[in-house]
Amino acid sequence: MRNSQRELFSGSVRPWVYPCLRIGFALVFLIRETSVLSPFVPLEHHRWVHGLDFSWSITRQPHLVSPMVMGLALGAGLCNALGYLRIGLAVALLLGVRSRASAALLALVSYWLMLSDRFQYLHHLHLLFLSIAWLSLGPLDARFSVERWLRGGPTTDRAPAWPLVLLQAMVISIYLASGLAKLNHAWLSGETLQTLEMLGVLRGRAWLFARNSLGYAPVACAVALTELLLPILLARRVTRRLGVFCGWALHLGVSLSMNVSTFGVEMALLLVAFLAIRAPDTVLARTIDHPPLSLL
Amino acid sequence: MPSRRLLYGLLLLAVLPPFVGRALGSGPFAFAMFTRVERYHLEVRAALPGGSRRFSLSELEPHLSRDARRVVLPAQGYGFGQEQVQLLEQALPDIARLVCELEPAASTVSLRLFHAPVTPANLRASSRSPLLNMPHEDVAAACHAQ
Repeated sequence: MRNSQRELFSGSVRPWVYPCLRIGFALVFLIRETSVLSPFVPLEHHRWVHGLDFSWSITRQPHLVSPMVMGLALGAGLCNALGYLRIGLAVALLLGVRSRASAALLALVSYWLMLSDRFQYLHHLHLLFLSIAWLSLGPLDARFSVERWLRGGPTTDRAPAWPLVLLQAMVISIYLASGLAKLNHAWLSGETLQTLEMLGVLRGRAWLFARNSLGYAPVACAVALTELLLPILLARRVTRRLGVFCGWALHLGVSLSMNVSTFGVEMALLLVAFLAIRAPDTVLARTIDHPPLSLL
Repeated sequence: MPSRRLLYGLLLLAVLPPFVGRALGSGPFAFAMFTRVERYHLEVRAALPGGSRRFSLSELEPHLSRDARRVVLPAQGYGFGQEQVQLLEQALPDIARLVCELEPAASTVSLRLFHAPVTPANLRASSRSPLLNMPHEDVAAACHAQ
């Protein structure tokens, strides 16, 4: 029992995984929270984000004050200032400047802005901010960091695994929660998918292909089953890679069939966390005692 | 590495929120992902000295944030969504307060939020009797009118 507890958090991983997630999430953040790509690629959020997301948009006083958490409501000046601060923090995160502090502050400020008006809540934004918050625990500037490049200093061959374990646990819980929520008659009978199609939410060739090949109920059951199987596949070392590919396929299918903004990309990025192979702590010690030839 | 107790605390913090969100019946934070589609409609009335007046939601538009408009304004007719209904339901007292401010002569403001799950069958029938059998929540707020 004690050994399994130790095994859950101990060990180390190759450090590439943290900077990879850092750069990925910083890019997703900058793309989703601004309209910077609107002249080049039309994205769903460009329909309502012009400039910075969450910037002050109320045109006349008095205004609706409805924060999700009491006391978090913001005025125009602070709201806009925090909006600009977020962009600075996201750029710092992308470049690897004070990465952990930038990530933690970015998540904090983003949650404050989102919760200051309950109508600003969206699942994919919550997932984005949550991922950045959990990432702030890891050694994000182990590679591809401007700050490390300027300062120099030794690079390590291994990084602690425990921040990654927490991120993986979050991903597994999301799949499990989503899968369990689908265990009801309306979903499993295909009625919900039919309703979403009638409302124009589900569309596109991928959806039509799946619907025509299988039908509403089998597609609904397959989605629920995949979401419930993914936690098992991802939790077990031997099936982890299969789980990652199943997850990527699921998110590709969903993203091709409906507008989920950046949710699919965020989940696909989080699945990268499962590709890092964990080695026991002894490997770290051995590497230091007997450096491999590549380090000499 | 942090202490084992802290790590297990963090693990619970990473795993539990979607389930707590679901247990509280809350759409937000639960990651239920399109499992329930609801239709919603909001009616706002202000009691004035000369009688009651029905407020059009479009009158609220300039006083709402961009994201609030996205959820509130469709309720003039019929909005669709899962989290939207719960967000709107929780915001009813705040909307009532805003209407009181916009209509200083009002003694009370009452809001009625109709919402019901959408199925293919009731979606087809909705054009005939949209509000038929739709459950609703009522919120009334005193405006402290002089």
